[in-house]
Amino acid sequence: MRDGFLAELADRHALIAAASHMRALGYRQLDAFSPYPIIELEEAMGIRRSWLPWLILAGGIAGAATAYFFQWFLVAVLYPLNVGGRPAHMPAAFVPITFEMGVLFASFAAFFGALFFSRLPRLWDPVSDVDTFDRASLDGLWLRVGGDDPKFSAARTAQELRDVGALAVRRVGGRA
Amino acid sequence: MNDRNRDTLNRALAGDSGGLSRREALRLLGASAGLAGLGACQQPPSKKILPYVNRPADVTPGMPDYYATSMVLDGFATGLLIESHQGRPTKVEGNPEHPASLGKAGVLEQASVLGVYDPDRATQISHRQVVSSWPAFVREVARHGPSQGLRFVLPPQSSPVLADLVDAIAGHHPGARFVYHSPVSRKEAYRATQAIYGTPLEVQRDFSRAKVVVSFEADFLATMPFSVRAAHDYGKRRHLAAPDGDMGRLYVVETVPSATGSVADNRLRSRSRDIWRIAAQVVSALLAQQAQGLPPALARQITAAAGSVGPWAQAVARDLLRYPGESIVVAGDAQPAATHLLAQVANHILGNVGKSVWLTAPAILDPLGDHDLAGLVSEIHAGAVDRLIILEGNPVYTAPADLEFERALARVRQTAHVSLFDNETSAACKWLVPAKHYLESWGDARAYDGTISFVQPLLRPLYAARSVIEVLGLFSGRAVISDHELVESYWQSRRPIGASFRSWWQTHLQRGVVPDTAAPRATAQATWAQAGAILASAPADGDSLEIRFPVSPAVYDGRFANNVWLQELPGTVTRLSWGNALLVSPATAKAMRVSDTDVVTVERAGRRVRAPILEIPGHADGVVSLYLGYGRRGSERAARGVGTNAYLLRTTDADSFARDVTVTRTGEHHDLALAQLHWDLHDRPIAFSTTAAIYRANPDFTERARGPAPSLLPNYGRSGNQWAMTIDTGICTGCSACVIACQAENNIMVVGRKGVMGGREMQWLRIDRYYKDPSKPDPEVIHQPMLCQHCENAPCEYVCPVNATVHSPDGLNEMVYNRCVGTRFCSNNCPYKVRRFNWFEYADPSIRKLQRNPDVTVRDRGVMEKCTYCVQRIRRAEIAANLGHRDLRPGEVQTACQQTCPTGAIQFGSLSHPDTDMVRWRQQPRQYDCLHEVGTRPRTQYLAKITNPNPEIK
Amino acid sequence: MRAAADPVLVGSPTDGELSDRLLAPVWRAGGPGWKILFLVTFAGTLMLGFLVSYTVVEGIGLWGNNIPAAWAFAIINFVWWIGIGHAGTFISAILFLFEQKWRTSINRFSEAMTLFAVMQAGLFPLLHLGRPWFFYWLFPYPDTMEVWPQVKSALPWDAAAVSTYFTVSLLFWYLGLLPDLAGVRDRAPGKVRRVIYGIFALGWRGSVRAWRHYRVAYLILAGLATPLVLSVHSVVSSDFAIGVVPGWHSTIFPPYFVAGAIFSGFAMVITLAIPARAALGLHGVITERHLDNLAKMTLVTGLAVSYGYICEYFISWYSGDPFELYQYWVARPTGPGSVVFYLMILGNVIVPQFLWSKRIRRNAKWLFIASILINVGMWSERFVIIVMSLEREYLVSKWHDYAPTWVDLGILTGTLCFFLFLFLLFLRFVPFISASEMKELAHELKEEEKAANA
Repeated sequence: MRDGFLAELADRHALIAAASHMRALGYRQLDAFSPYPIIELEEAMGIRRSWLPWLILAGGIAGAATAYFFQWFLVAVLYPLNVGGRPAHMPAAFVPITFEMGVLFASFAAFFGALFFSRLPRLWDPVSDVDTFDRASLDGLWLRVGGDDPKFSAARTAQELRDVGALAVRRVGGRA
Repeated sequence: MNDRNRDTLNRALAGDSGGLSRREALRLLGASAGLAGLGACQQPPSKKILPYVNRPADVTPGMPDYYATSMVLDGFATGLLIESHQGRPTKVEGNPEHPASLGKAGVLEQASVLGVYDPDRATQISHRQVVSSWPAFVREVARHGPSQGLRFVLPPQSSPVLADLVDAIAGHHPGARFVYHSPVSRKEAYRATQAIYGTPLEVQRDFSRAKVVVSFEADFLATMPFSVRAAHDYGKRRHLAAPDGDMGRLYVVETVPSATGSVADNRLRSRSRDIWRIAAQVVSALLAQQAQGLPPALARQITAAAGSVGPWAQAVARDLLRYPGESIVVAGDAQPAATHLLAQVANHILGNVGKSVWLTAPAILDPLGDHDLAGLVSEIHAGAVDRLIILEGNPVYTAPADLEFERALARVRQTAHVSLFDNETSAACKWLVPAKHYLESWGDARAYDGTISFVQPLLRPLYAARSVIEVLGLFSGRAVISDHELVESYWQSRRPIGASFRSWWQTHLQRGVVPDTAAPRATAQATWAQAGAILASAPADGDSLEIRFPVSPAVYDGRFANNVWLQELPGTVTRLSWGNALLVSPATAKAMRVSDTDVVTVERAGRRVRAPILEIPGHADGVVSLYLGYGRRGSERAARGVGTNAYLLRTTDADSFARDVTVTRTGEHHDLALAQLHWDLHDRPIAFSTTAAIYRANPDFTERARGPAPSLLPNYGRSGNQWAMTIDTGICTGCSACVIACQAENNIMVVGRKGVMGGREMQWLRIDRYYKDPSKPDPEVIHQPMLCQHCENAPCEYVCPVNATVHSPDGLNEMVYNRCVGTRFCSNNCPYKVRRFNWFEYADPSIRKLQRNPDVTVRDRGVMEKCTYCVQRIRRAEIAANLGHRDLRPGEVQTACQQTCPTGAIQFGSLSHPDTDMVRWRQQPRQYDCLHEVGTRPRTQYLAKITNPNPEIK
Repeated sequence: MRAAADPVLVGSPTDGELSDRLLAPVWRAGGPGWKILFLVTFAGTLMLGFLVSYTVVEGIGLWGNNIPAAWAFAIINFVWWIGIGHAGTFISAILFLFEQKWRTSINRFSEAMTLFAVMQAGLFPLLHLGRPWFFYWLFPYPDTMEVWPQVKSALPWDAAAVSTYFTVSLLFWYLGLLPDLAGVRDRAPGKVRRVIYGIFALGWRGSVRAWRHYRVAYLILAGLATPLVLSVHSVVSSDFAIGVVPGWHSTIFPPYFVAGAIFSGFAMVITLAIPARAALGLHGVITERHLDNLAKMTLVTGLAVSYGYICEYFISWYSGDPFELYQYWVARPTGPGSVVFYLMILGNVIVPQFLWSKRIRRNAKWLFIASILINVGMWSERFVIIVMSLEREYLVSKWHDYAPTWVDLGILTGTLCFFLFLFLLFLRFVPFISASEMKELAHELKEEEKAANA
């Protein structure tokens, strides 16, 4: 959705109301911007639960498994030395590294997964050109309707946005 | 050559003639003339010398050769085998065929190999501090014809070649005199025998069969001549194979705790000047039983001198009488003639003479020292001396202080010093001729028992050096020839009838010894002619503070003071390295209100020195002692200024102990480089000891510290050779020969005084000294050689993050230097603290590196190191065995410490060879593991120390 | 929730006010105090650099270490710094999971403290090596010799734990920072700042979709960091616990080390929060309630530490092991450097008891002093455990005392300066209180008030 409308809302309740109203009108290409997370907004816009957790789980398991395998393979298979009379394969001793690697890879999954799903890093976005949009990271609340939305029409959508109480409606990128 | 000249010369040679004053320019001319001469005194390569029989004569790269030679100390030779890597002597071992060695070597012999590579050796002949040349010296000698005023000062000698030269010189220079001077004089012993037999004789003793030995301050196991042999015999005699075995009994009366004293069954502390009286008491107790063979007058005199006989003497006498002919009574060289006399009286009464004790003609020339330094000095002041040649020795440093020898030297017109070092004496002489180290010389000498031993060089002299006989040769009026020619021609002239000289010469050079040349037993009868006089000359008692001057067990009389191994070697009983201290008993220290590290002023007859205090349990009360050999002020860098010079207090009338000493606190402190700071066992299962009686009654007294320790770990398969070591602390005298042997074999670096004080010493093998009950005035000493225990469940191994220390299939705890990153976790986790860390780059860049063993890595900075059980020797033997398609033979591998240990207390080998001492020993009931309960399963195991004190003595 | 009576946030500022107040320090020039401190700590950091190179060039013989005390200052400092690191993650992760509102205003700079502390700690395992240039041999790098790390030793565990801990803390911290970086990007005066912060903000716009993943990731990272924070010091403690050294060989170590770590961490948070709050006038955001709670946490963990001591002594007596008995009952109270032992008791057992009093808990001055004493006490604890145990080990003949050299002391001081240096930079260039979370909190509080009034 390269273009579309940005509507500034007075406060979080207005934003939530607006979002659910537009959705009720059948708009699907909706997005909202706020300086802090607003959980109700996600419900209002019918966004499904993130499935990032599964990725993290996978990362964790992969990390732990690799770690244990490596320890076993290097110490018990490749170079089984007599070290202090200890057995070559000594599971108890392998636990710490296995655990640490599990956590490490899970964390990588969490961090980079979150960025990836949020389509970040992305330094420039059409909305950035809208003046006063920069308040979005401070105290501004904005609702966005994508130009590629089947129900989108330059005239009506703007009007509908004003009707749900937008303080201001701005055109984003695209054709004039 | 003094530094100023050296600088000038060096600068000039470096082509920098910037700003030379006229004076300097002239000196430079002299110096360069000298250099020209130096070219002339380059030697031809040393003659072909012959390797030991069991080794190939041709040099295989990587394969060491072994050559037989002898080290001569104050006239007495000890036969050695020198390991040589492509012409580089690296290690000393005893010569199994030599009676004074029997394959063993002592501390001084082991350390001597470093001496040849000493970076501070005198390098060029110099005259009045200016480089000169051998031809110049020869001309100088020739310039004067025969003269009355020619004098020689040299250490005691037993060399036949030298004796021959002495005669020749006497012929050429009528009136020439020879002064045989050694700071540790044995004159008193000879005076005693002369008093008895009318002629000075050497007392020979056989410790291998003696049931009872009584030593009156005789350290016959460590610092006396023939001590290596004595220790060997003693070890054989004392090792207790079974609880009911017979181990004999050793009584020691002494002032300063010594190696011998530390293994005594009954030890009595006494001031040196009272020891003769204790001897007298023992003898009069003996006389009470049987007095035949002794002049009644003498007997009466002895009994009178003894006064009332104490219970100790009574008990000892009773014990001696139990074994007539099977005991030995011996007196120390530091004791007055009276003590030696009484010891010999005892031997006569007990019928030992001819059995365990016999007499021979002394091996050394002029044993009574008809000409001594005192006489020489008075001659000098009388103007009777115009040429004084000092051959080795360092009289300016060692002469009795009252002679003021240095001042006397200055009054002699021509003085020359033949010396290894540019030392105190060299500085006071006009000529300095660098002496050859014995590993560079040809020569011969007799052992204590008279056996002829040969000295053959291992390498050509490193510097423009000459041996003593070469210099003496110049005065003999004969042609100037090398020491090799001197020795060979001499023996050629005495070639045994029938044998072709060449083959005789080769065989005996190879063996380093001429068998069956021990001096025959003297037949002289005891006439006791001047016995009474000797006895009357015994020192009086009285309670003034006494001072005793023992030779240092490390640097001896100071001649080895620049040997860094010996400087860093902790004292046998003091555990003190890098210096000496005023030793006192705790009781005396309390009385003097001083304690360790207090610096005190010791004053005697107007002479005073300053020394730090060190309290030593077992030291006699009412006496202080100061080791000789320290406080050097020659040009030797390692020795210079280390410790206190005890010679400054010695006078002609009191050269081994003196009375009327005062000790005053200065309030200052001096830190001591002690290698061990705690010696109370705290009842920990570290070292065990008990008496023979208790052992017999309860053989399993070490039960708690032996047997398999419980473990959750699986047992690793142990096949093939499994290396292990067993150490009998019962016969370890703490002499530390093993420590130096290990240092030489394994390229162990020294860390210096600060390093030792910081707890960073590097010796892989140390000898821990524990006191059984430190609160006692005379506690029992346990010496425990402590080295890597090669634990089967080694705590050091599993904590290493990089596999730098792992276990080998043949049971070695291996240290992989290249892999070590230096976390030091292994050292923390080693209960025995036998791991050493290279805190800095310790490798010595000086010429000393020529001594290094090419089979052993020189460790880098930042890596851990420790005892390897001499793995290089194990592998070498295995390779040899593989080439021969055979298994290793029992005893084929010897570790350096085991090979040199004079008493044979260290046994090493493979557990798969059950018929070796190593394995037999560890089946004895007194076997124990150090810190057994920690469960490390050490491969190095110990035998508890068993003593056999006389039950009659409380 | 005694929010009204005892606020975690004073007043009810609007989002804009909050943003300005919390982001402003980033573009406001530092005061003279800041400048002086900056120069001092910078000098100290340079000294650290010098001493480190000196040690690497000459060898660690420059330190006081010896045999038996082969580990000393380096390892003490390592354990101490790692310990301090713990509070940050504890606050931001565990308190987050327990939805403790008061954590919001202190979590970011305590996380930063964690990162900087771990950086100091990370210096030592490298530096203390005999051959630091081979440190990578502790990691399984492809090696033609096929020689690998020996993972039965606790040191590779350490390497894994510490590096993981640092990485995870960094990710966690940076993720939380994104919205505020965006805030600075949009609010900061001057193009340069906007560009730089813009790059670091990775183009964050607060889109509801981004927030969705952000929340999940943040929550799960918190969940991951929680066991991690407990594991790290357990692993560190096994550097000693797996040894046979009397005084090390103990199963109580992991929990007792973790408690000690969090204990010292909270002390350090207090040490830093009190001056920062005063200097930057943040009494509204870091309120007395925060100090109170921090002090309470310190007290609790402090009691846990004391319990650890009691266990050690009990077990040493109960086991009857002569070596342990000597170590605990003779060497520590009466042996060399027993002063340090009593410092430990003072700092870790006695001082926390004062925190029972609410007056002290809420008195910035006294609390500050207490926190300093506790930091000293915890350092002493590590000295007692590491050095004093080694000084009096099994073999009497090798008992030897330890004394640090000027290099040891210099390096310790150097790391303190480096730590403060980094912290000063942080105060100056990063929003050190999470603005977005504060706004969220502010709204939640408003809702609560409404609910309460209705």
